[in-house]
Amino acid sequence: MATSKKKAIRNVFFNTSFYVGLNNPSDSLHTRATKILRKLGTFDHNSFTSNFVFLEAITVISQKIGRNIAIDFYEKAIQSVREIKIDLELEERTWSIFKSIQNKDVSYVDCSILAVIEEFRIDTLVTFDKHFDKFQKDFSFQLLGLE
Amino acid sequence: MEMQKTTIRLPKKLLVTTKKQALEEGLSLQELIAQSIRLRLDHKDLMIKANEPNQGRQHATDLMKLAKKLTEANTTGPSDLASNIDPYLYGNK
Repeated sequence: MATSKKKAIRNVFFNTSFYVGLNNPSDSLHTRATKILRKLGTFDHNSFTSNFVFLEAITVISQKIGRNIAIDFYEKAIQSVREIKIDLELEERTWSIFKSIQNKDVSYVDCSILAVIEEFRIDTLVTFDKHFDKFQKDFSFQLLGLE
Repeated sequence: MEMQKTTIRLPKKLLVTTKKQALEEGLSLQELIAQSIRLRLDHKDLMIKANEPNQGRQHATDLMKLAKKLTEANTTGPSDLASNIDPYLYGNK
């Protein structure tokens, strides 16, 4: 039987779907989000996200859950996560990844996450987006949230 | 430190602004570019090698507290929101 070998979790990147699920207790993925956090709370690691992820998460949380909840989330999250700014260099890599992917459902922000994974040696991506599955091998990361 | 010669190509506009900045800072173009590359690599290195080993654990703890608070406040939103971010954000939902 083939088994996939799990890497050690060292550098963890959180994407929009995780943050949104966490901020919405009535979301079908909320319990899964809290289980992931319980697991991550038991060992040392580094947590990362990006300004693009915050841009999406804050907007959707504000529009669909509540503006004050979005504000509270950002002010809490920013204190303990390393926010990577998508700068000119990362944006150039993002654009090159975007052009190389044919699937229309993979967004520009998704491509920016792949650029960050590559650049910052992220080993674990926390997400509920299924389309990241097919990039695991090429970008050398594992997923947390889709199991 | 042993130096090695290399060639880089920059967009014309960037080259003009880089030369201007080098002049303002009293550096040669080569020095300014080398300094910028070093700064970028140091920054990236710092980001990767976290000085605070508990930073990730702290993030998990902070977010758990937030989730608990939201549950206690009976916060609600669409049950399929996290699995449909793009349609909700960009207009299909």
